[in-house]
Amino acid sequence: MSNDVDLGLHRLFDAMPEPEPDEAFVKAVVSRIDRFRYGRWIVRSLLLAAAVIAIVASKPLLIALIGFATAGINLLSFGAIGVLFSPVGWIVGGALALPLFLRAIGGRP
Amino acid sequence: MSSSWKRGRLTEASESAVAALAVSGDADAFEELVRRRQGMIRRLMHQLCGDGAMADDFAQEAFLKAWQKLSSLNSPGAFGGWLRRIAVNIFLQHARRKSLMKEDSDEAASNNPVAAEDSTAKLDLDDALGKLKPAERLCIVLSYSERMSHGEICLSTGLPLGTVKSHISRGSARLRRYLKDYEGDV
Repeated sequence: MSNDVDLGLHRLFDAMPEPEPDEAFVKAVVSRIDRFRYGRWIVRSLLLAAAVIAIVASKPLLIALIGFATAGINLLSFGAIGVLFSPVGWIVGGALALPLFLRAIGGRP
Repeated sequence: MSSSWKRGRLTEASESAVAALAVSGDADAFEELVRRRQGMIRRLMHQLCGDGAMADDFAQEAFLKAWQKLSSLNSPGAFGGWLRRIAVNIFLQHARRKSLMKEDSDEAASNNPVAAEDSTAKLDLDDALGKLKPAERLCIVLSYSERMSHGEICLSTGLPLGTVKSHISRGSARLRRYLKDYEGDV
């Protein structure tokens, strides 16, 4: 009985006609795809434009940051050179290093 | 190459050849696939939704999704089944958004103008499907129209196997009752 019912329903579903071919439906799908493609293209263009605008707008800030970084590096490097190659540096370095050296060799600082 | 000549060639070509062309990015080939498969997808969506305009909208969405995912179609010969799965998923997404998959959802039955119990009404399969609850209708259509197994329905809808079986059993019993006019066939 159940199999008969199943067969009957299968037959009914199979007999349901497909809608007539509709060229308007095909055109609607094609235009939907076109809209999607244009939409995607517009979003990508907007994102690219936003990235360019962000870089251009932040140019002064970037230049200032690079300037500060360069100044910081220069200060450190010239400071180190100044300490290493000047008599004042030798005195300061010696004063700092002598106690460590004496402790290392077992003498009194 | 003129477009009418190309279209003529596409019309004569096998579906797998046209699908392979579409996968390679040929827009005319995809249009030909839409032309060939529109009937199948529109009928399926109509059976699932019961609303002609909404069914056509979902069918268009299914073709758009298929176009977006064409690169993932490994076997062009399986285009029909692959497209049908996409269409079923589109409907399922809609059903989940609208909470139509709840067991106690009576939305279709209460909104459908043919839903009122009227044993004298001459019902065809379309109307009878419209009287079922959405989850029941989905299981019935997938089982009887798409010939999916209970396990496959369970996997694609996310419903428990027991629920799928009871939807199909109860749904087919109700369909039989509604389709008294087809008693000879059913």
